[in-house]
Amino acid sequence: MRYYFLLQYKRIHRSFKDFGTEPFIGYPIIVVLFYLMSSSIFENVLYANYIYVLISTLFAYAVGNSEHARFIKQHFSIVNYRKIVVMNNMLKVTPFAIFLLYKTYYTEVFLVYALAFFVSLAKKRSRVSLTIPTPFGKKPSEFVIGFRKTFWLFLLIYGLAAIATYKGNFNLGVFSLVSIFFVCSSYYMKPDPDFYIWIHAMNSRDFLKHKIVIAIKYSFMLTAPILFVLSVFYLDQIHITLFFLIMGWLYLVMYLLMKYAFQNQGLELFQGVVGVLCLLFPPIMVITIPYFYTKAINNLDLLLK
Amino acid sequence: MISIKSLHKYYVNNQVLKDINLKFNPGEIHGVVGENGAGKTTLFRSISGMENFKGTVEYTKGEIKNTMGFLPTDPYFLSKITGKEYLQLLCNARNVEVFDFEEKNIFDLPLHHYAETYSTGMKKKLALTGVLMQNNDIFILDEPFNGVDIYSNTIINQVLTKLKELNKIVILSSHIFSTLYETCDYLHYLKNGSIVKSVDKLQFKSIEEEMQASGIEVKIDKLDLK
Repeated sequence: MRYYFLLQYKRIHRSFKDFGTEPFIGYPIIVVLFYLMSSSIFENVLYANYIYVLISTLFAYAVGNSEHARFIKQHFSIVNYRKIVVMNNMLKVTPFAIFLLYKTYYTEVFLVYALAFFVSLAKKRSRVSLTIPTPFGKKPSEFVIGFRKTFWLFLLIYGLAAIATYKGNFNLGVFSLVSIFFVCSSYYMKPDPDFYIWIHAMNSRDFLKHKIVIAIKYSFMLTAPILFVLSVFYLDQIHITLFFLIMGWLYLVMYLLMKYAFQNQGLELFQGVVGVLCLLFPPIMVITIPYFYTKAINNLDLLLK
Repeated sequence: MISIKSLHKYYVNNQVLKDINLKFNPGEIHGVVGENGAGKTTLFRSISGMENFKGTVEYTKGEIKNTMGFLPTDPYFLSKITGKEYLQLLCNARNVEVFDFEEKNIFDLPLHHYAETYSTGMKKKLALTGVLMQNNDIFILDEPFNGVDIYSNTIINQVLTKLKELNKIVILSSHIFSTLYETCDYLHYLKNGSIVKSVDKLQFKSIEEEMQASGIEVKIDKLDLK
């Protein structure tokens, strides 16, 4: 078991090196970013302490794949397997607990660990046999996969849009529109295996164009119900709706380009940071979009000659 | 015709392919054999353009990549994508329009299930169906028979015969010599990154014997099984 955790430590070290940075630089950057993000939650969100506990639990549940868990289960005794799963989850939530301690939320610290323990007992389903239908089957892409993983979020978002109409809250309507783009951007967090790029009989520029058209078309399909509601009930503010639609598309395209700009580099964290920065200050996209486009073309040229 | 001239491949300082020179003509099936780690997959990935290398791979009909079907040893499937969607993706990638996927489902695969839930053999068959539907001129099949049931092996054999009749170029690898005897016209023995022997059908036996005479008994003795 000790060797297992030693290996995990080595893996983290190696992922920093793959990222192109030394661990002694990477660790402080992660700590600072974590502190900034946590602080911004406590500064801007109502009931932040409870939401923070919820985020930590979701983090413990979501991070780590079921294949990895299956591997441990196969090769370790059932007692050691349980210990590893619990230890892993405790370690994952520890940064959250430390921040809560710093904020003197002692009860929440206990809650974070207790929930992490219960999450360890939960069985994660890895293979769902039920095929969720999607309207994107003609051009299977990130949207097919992403939609199947996040379809329940759309129920919530469309629900919000319905409440926005019922309560006459335009801002909530816009928020639901923007939420769709956040969800869709997450579809571009995982790099494609080389094979799935190589199969395309097109050059890099055409490939990106093809991908961008799909992203715009399919995101439009998902936002269409909200756009319809907002334009019918808030026609006088249609210019604001359109502004957020265009910003959403730019944001989505930037994420798409970033995916191919950093193909094979596993930069989920980097994507997250750039995404937050562009959200706080959208004009940055004037620089980031062309930069990622050029970098993506250079990367894709290696596979799409 | 595909012509490989002086192909060398390095991973940092480690040379994995050394001075490979081969020619593949339309209507021929070529087998590449060798121990695990001999460099077969790297050679296939180099020919397909998925790896950078020193040397040249020339194809007389133009851009090799856009007319090549590549079957990896261990096909990877994106999560939450059905068999039909995988086939659709491969056809879209080559601008091939298919109206009825079920009709072309020669292995009777459950196309509406997620591909990631398929067994090893089913995954291989799905990946093979995909490259066959792309209307390629060149086929690189890395261990096409691996993990596939006997009935499907027979279908694959017949598919290969048909591809030969259609004047396609087929390059495959396999560790099962009986399948190589049945399907291949030429065999190339890859050892430690070099082609040490290339023979026609009449001399396949010589490669088989050479591969078997590599001190298997001594190796097993070293394991000291108790």
